[in-house]
Amino acid sequence: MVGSDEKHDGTRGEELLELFARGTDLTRQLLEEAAQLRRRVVDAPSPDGSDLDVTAEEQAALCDWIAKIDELQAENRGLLEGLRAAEDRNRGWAERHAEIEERHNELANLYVASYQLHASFDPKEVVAAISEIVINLIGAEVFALYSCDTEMGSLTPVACEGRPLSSFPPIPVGVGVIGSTVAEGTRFVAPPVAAGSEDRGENDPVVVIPLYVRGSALGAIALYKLFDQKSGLSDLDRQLFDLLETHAAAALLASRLFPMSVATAGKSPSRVDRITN
Amino acid sequence: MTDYRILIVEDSPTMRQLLVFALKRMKGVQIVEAQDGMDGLRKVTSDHFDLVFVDINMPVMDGLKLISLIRSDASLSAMPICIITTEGAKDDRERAIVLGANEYLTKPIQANKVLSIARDLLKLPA
Repeated sequence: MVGSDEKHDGTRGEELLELFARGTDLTRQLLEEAAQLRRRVVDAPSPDGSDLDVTAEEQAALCDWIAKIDELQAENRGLLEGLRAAEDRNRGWAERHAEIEERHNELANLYVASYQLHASFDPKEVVAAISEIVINLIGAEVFALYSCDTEMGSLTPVACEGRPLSSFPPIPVGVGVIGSTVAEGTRFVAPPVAAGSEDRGENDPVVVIPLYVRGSALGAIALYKLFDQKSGLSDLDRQLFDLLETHAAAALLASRLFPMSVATAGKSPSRVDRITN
Repeated sequence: MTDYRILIVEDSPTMRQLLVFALKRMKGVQIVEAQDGMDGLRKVTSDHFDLVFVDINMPVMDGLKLISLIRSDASLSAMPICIITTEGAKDDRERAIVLGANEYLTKPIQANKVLSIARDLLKLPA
């Protein structure tokens, strides 16, 4: 729809341009003819010795030419304004088209992320889905997913990418950037590193997403390094963080509770049906 | 309208779904999915495809091996191949191009970039 409107505006713009060029040629022609006519009038010998020998007919023709020129110039101005308006509309459509493309891309990413998070009750598959979202949709080169043990008050890495799992030590809740983020439940986003200043350390996270369900901490996702081609965080990245904050936590909790529910319900077939159907 | 058949060889369900989402915006396109290189090879040799998207890092058979096998088959030598890789994996990308890949997509992918590459490789108007 947008494409066809753009095409229509483009064709109209070309037509206007052509019309404008024709008008310009015609005006130039008329001006040249008027100038020739003026020269003829001025150069013509006067039989009665007066400076000008212009007949009434010639004067009328000259007036007609001048009126015609004025008319064409006005028409040219109108066409030029029409052309500018068409160009503005074209620009507007192009910007709108780009916005719609961007929005479509965002919605596709959010839909796929949400779909994959809730596609399974298997804890391993849920963790794999979280990892894929972080790697493929956000573009993290190094990250770790921590699980929160509320009794021990610590965060244990359960999945990672970019470095061995052993390189991510357990973190006490409330300690350091990751521990504090989980304790406070507020996402951490590191400020961009200024040019010329020292790079961030490999253990300093760029983003920490706390995973909470109804006020209970389930863990955190810490991104340590983004792909080189990512110059920073986009709106889509922030929307994916929002989604992970709530949906990843819910999916992890559901995957942990599901086996327990099935085991409990195993004693009563009707309850198994309720859970699985 | 002519139907174009596109094969997506990618082990990540997330990436497959995102690619399908993007490619389904083209009219007259049939999309088939394969979850690793071996599955991809089976499908590409048993059916006709106009374009193949291949991830480089896959279990069972990786993308580079799949590309070399596709290009060694005379009946598939002209089939366009687009690889999916990360910006950091430049060596893999260069190797894939040497082996016969026509284009590459870097993760995270953008739907409009996927469409633009698909249209280009299928020689469709933009």
